[in-house]
Amino acid sequence: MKVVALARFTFLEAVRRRFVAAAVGLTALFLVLFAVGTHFAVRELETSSLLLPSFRPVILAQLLLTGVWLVSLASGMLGIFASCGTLSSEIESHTLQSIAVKPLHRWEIVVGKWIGLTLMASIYTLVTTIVVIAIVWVRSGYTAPNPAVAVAALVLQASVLVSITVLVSAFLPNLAAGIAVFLLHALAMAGGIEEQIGVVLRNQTMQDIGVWLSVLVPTDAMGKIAASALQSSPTGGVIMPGPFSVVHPPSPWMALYAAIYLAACLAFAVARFERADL
Amino acid sequence: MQAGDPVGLATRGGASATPVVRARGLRKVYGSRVAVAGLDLDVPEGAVYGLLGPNGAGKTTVIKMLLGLSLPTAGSVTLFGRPNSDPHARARVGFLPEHFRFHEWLTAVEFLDFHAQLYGIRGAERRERVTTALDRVGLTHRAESRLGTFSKGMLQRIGLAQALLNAPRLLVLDEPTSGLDPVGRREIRDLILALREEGVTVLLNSHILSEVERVCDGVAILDLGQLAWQGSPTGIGEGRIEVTAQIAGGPPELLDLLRRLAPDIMRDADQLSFTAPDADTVAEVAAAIIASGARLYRLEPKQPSLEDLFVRLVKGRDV
Repeated sequence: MKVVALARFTFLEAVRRRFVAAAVGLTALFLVLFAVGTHFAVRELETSSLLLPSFRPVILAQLLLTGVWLVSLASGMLGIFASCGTLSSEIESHTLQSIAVKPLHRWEIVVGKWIGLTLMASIYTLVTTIVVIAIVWVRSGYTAPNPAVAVAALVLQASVLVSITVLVSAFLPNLAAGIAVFLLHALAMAGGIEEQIGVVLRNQTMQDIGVWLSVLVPTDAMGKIAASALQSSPTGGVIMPGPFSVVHPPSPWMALYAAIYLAACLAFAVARFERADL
Repeated sequence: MQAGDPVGLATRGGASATPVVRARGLRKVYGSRVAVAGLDLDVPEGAVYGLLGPNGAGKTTVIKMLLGLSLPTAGSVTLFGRPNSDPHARARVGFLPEHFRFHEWLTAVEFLDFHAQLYGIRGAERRERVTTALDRVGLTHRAESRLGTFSKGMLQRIGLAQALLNAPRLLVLDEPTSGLDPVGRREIRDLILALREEGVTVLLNSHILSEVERVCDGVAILDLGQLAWQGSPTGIGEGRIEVTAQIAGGPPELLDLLRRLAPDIMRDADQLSFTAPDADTVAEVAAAIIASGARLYRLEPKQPSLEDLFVRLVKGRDV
């Protein structure tokens, strides 16, 4: 019950923040613009004589991947910057003193906060991803191969980012924690791009670097799983390379690894917080 | 360590002899700096116990270690006979931190309801406790106001309300009157005295000595992380009454006569000053002055205050 109270409180606190409200407002604006852009792109595809009809799904998939990549980036940023002060800044401001003295275990505080923040980031990711997929489907009729897998992978990505941030916030102050986790996420994205280029160029070293970076920070791998579940090939064979498409999707086992990684981050955050002076 | 009269520290009302708070060998080291050096402390049940000390003496560090907010480098703490790490031990503890900052986007009722949930209080009882706590600190009329609109004094009172939600048997107040006006201070003092009547043990950390002297049954003075003195404020004067007197005339051997009663007596023109172990000695000195034929115009015994003791201890360390 106390964990639920802390989770509910953290969720409400997070959604009341000004930057979260700003992010939601800007996301709504983005979705409107994306819908308008999709409308005109589909009209061009329908009237163009330059494009083979069999390539239409590929173009539509690229459009969808662009939209999904942008909302996943936004959800990652939201998760990181909503969580980056959750332990350190509340220790600094002494807000936690009146909470930690209550008859509860310290792990309940960390887990309660994590649930609240993960819930907030997951709801944002779930809603925005579904809306982007729906916009493309409604306007063009394009049906992604596995939209449910894509949504689940992106929710897992947001959850992993929140978990890493909660862990880092047990060590670093507010903004430093946010920047550190964002850079880790960026590193993972760079590794993912390098791996895909390595596949196209058939360079094993580039592919290995990408794989090891995805082991270090498995957030981009979740993005790749989502992208591969949304993209379509003209013949059902080779995927057309693009900025957001995936030539060589990660193993589905990466999702299990990400879940274990998430739990490990939470466990380390609890262990650190158990020893912290408040 | 110097010890005062332990009578004032005895358990009130003959209740359980197990101290509500017991610390043994409590030590806290930050890097090379020793903040608290091996503190032993017992706070008996039902007492209002004051923790005093100059800035940097380690008072807040001690309170944080007692409540499990800070882990001691060495030593142990029990609350109600249980280790302070046990949540059950903290179930009947209320705490108002010194540097509190509450969630200002909440209304007073929402804030108290959240803290009541953390105490594990449910349903109708929770609503009742919130209402009672608001009433007790005089904030019923601001129940639906956001904490962000509260003055410093009102925030102090809402902080006190959250510490009273669980009907605590131990209330720990870290500088509870800082930032309050005289009326607010008096209200807090009256509340502490009322809680004492209800049998609540209060551990009070305050730098306002007069405040501590008025409400506390027992006092511990910390200095440089060590216990410099503990005892009852009412027992401070016992064994040491400082007396000044104004006399005129008297035989040359008067001073020698009086030295038999007060060995440290000194005369400067018509002024006498000495210390006496008790009031009877003071009366005997007065009688001896009159019996010698001298005129006694003024005799002023002065009980040392907590402030005198505090200054003496801290200055004594500086010498």
